[in-house]
Amino acid sequence: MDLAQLYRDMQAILPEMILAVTALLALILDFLTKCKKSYLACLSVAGISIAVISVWGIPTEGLAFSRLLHVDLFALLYKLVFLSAGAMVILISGDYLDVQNKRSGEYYVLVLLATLGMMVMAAAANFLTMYLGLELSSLCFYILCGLQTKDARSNEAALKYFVLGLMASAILIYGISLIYGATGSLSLIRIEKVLSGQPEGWKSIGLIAGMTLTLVGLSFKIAAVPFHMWAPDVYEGAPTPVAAFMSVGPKIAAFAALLRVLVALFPLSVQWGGIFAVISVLTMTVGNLLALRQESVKRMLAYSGIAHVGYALIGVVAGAYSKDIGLSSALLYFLMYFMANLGAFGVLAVLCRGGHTGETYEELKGLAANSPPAAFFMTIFIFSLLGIPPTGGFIGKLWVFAAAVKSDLMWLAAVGLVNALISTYYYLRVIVMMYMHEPEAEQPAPAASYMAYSALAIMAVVTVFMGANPRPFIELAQRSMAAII
Amino acid sequence: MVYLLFGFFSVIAIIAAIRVVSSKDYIHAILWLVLTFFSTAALFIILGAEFLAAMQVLVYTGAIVILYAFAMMLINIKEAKVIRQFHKQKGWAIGIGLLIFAALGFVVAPQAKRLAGAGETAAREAISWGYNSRAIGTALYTKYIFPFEVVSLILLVAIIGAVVLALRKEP
Repeated sequence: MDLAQLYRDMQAILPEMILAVTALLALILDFLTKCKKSYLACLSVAGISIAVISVWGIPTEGLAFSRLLHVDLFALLYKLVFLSAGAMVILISGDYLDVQNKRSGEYYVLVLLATLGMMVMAAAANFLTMYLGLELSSLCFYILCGLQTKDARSNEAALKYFVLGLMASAILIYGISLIYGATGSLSLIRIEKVLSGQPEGWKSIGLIAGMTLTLVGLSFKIAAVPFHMWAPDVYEGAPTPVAAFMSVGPKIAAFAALLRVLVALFPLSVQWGGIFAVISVLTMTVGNLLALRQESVKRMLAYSGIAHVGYALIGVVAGAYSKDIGLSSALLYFLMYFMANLGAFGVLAVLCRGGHTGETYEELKGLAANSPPAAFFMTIFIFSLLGIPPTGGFIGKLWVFAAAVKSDLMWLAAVGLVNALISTYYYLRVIVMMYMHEPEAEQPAPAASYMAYSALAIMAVVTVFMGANPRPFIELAQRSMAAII
Repeated sequence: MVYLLFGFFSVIAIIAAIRVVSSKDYIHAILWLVLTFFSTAALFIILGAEFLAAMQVLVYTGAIVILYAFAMMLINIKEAKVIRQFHKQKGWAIGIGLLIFAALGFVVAPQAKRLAGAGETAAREAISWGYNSRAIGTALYTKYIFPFEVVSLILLVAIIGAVVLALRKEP
């Protein structure tokens, strides 16, 4: 192996290396110092910021590490998404950790390493790297869920996520092994070549079974119905900032991996298009209907998050008919969605204070009078999740539905639209509670620091900016998708 | 001579495996399991797969069997002793075991020649690298260096998780 090649490869994973170094540094400093650990948050955010800057230094084309990693626009875009999500989570979790008396070094190490794992997943050009990235991030999240070792709900969440996640991983690996058996390779590029070289009407039972199992494994990670059961319980039990991270990070990472796998398996688009048509309708409808009945806002957000995956899957189904339009709209959907969802959970994390969990609708009553900025930010995030212009969520929904219409999937767009209507009920209920009710009893004002509020403000501004000025983001999504097709 | 050795270790492995499921005392069963693993490792050495043999000893006899022993000693010994080795499903178990054996034989036997040929090619390739261990090491540290490093991070996370979740003393 020549050194010049190694140097080029290392350059391609510069952000990952910076994250790993930051995480190790935080781990060592955590051991060495006895004082309050808030400086580790600053260190982690600084590390992530340097990683973000370094993203601009890496090439936007090619493969690294003997064709195991993609270095393309798609990977870079996702790396930026995960890095910014990681930074926001660290910023909003400071106060929550203080309230819960859980401020400790491992928290930051695990968030950083989870981000690293998701970045590896999105860049994977091979099932091996994809799986390892998935395991790295999942393992971090299993632990993060159970950080509140004295809280029974937290323990339950960790155990549930761990056992079900392992089962999904096992299914995924079995599927991958069957695909390997049918095509003779783990490389996504090679698999696509083998499949498109086959004669028309060629089918292998092993390959179809392998594809189905792989898609089931990934569907579990994106919490699509019928593999969604774990999501609400896990989000409810996990510390709120962790739930915020989990509701966007692993989902989007698994979705990125899913897009790469689907492109590699494109010769089988009839099969996976059919599978995802069913899953998409189920995911939207079940997610929305169950969200209607929740009394906890955290659970409501978990179920509505499931519904959002369903909307994004509309794009995937459309992608089976018109590859670039459909898949790029699914990518755009998550790009528009992640800040708003992170922000909505972030507001809940800020509301957690002495004796209040800030998780139920009741506790949101009169928030506008109690803490105007928190209520205002929540409104923006809810509008974006609902898909009201001028927020990012509107553009995301619009493009997904447009992609379905362009691919002659009028009925799917109609199902999506009806579901968007259903979702207004539970989303608007949050706003009604905040603005149209008097605070019930004397509630302490949220003790959030300027750090958390500035993070919420950044997310709100980005959400509105994406909706008001969508052109560059749409182009970015299309160009990234074109890079992997 | 090689065939004689192969047969010798095969017979030991099979007898030990039968004793694993038939001995009444769980400590005896674990010890028989160690013998099974060791004789399988010997089979690997005879076949020229010295890396697999080393892994067999390190991972299975070293780690897995210790894990079994720990698990058995953590539960109540007296209870463990009265667990019956032979249940009502004995007949079913033997039947299904033979069925799986027959199915595997049915699949493998017609391919035996082809598989042997493939094994020979693989062996020749390995020799061109030097030894198995050397070939694996070279692949791990050149072609697969990136996954290798990611795995090391996964192990680090596992250690952190074990410490955080199990060792933490809360105020």
